[in-house]
Amino acid sequence: MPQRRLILFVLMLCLSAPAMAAKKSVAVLNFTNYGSKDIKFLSSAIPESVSTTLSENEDISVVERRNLGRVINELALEQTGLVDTRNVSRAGRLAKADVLILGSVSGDRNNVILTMKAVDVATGTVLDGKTVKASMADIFDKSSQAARTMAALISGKSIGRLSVSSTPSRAEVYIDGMSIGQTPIVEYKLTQGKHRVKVVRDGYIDFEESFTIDADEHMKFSPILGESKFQNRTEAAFGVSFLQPISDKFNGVPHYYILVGHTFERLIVSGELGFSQFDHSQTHFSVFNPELTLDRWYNTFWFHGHLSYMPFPNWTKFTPYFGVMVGMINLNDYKYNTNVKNDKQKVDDQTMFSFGGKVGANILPFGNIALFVEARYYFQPNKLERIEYESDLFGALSETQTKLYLHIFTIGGGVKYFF
Amino acid sequence: MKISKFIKIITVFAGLLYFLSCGNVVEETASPLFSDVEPITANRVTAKQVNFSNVPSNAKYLVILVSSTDFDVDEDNRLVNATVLGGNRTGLDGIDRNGTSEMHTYSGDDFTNNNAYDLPLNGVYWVVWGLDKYMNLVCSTPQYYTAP
Repeated sequence: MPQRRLILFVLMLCLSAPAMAAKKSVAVLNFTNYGSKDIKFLSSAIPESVSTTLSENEDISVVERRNLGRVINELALEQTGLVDTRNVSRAGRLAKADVLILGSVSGDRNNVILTMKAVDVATGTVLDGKTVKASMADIFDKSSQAARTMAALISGKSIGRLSVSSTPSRAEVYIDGMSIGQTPIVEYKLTQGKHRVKVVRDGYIDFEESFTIDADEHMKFSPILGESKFQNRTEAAFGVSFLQPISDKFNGVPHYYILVGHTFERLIVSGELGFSQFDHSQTHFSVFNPELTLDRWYNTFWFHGHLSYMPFPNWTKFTPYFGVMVGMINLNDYKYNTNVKNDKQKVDDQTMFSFGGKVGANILPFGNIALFVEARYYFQPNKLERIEYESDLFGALSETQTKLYLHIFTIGGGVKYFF
Repeated sequence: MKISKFIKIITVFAGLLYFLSCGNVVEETASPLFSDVEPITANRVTAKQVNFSNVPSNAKYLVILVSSTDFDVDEDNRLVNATVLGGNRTGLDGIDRNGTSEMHTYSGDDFTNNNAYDLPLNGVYWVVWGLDKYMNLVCSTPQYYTAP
């Protein structure tokens, strides 16, 4: 008796092995067109493409599409009728398929919306569903991408599960560039391997991450999306920056400026008008005094165009940016004739190109107002011509001219108002 | 007789006119060597001593400079082509607001502080000027010269 049972057990194993190893057969039916007439051809073209893509998977077999027309005719079913899962099992049996791929297209040439679902013929359950939105140029690529994922799911092998929630919720979730719905997403089936998840919601910073999922693994993402309040907004700022020591003559001098700009997502385009005036002194050669120091006065006006980039346009306590500047600077040089402040004589006037870069950050936002801090570096490609004087035994001061490249480094900040 | 009397009257009248005109002549004073400055005066007492007068209070630095050639001043109020023989300046020995007690030779770009120069009575050109603390010219004498 035990021997007979053993023989029966072995026979059962042998009979079930082929079943276990049998591939699932998939049939892709024509899709229903709910869109404009110019995309009607997609209702057959896309299924053809999907069918070809599915056949690349060695774990499933694809029913030849030429045979499906006869199936539909024999059943005398409208294509739309097949969407009804009550007819799916009958159609599936006629097509000799384990799984039917059904779908629809809608929209227009610029925005095609494709929905597909894989239905188990035996049970009528939906194994997987995909929604693809793309232009006409991209719809075939996207649908093939969706088909590959479906193929893996249909084969039942190497599947992991992904759950995505977000704060705030109802954010669009994309897996490998394909929308799978809005959060919360619960146990979405994914093939084993590398994928990329993206969570998007208007007014918030996108969340993106690459990950690797193993078979039977359940991976979860719960990003907190940061608000991006300042996209595409106009800003006006008043700032002051302090000249850092490049010589003992210009230490700590304040520069004042107003700035107006506009933010385009992460880019900020702005223009700035500024001015500065400051006393300083110059030490000259003199026969009367080895280091004769004379009072001087500068005033400067400048205009710069700025182009800045915010890598993280998230309106938090600290939003950094960096950028470049190009413009013109006008510098007027005066010397004092007496100790009366108004008694100044202009000795030189120069206008030069100016280039520079800056790094900064908006901080401590409150409503539409924020503070900002910046460090800047300016460079003038043309040398600054400085008038210097010497005192000798032959009357009034003699003029000499020195030339030097002007490197300006400033640190400062101010307040911005966003419209 | 009548003619000689007439001539005498004319002569006396002309002489009277001359006398009166001589009494009303205003002696011309030479203007400062440099432009747009206050006038000061100086006079040579001895070879080492020159007295200054009317030096303004804002003149911080003073120079007395002696040249063998006529002084030429350009539009920037600077001497050109001066051949310096000697002089003195603030910061060296023997000069203050009232005058000099020493006169030095000139070498290189400056006086040598050696009291080795004597200002001759004549045959040289000399001038005194003053500068304020901003090194602006504020006062000057005319160019002095006495022919030998």
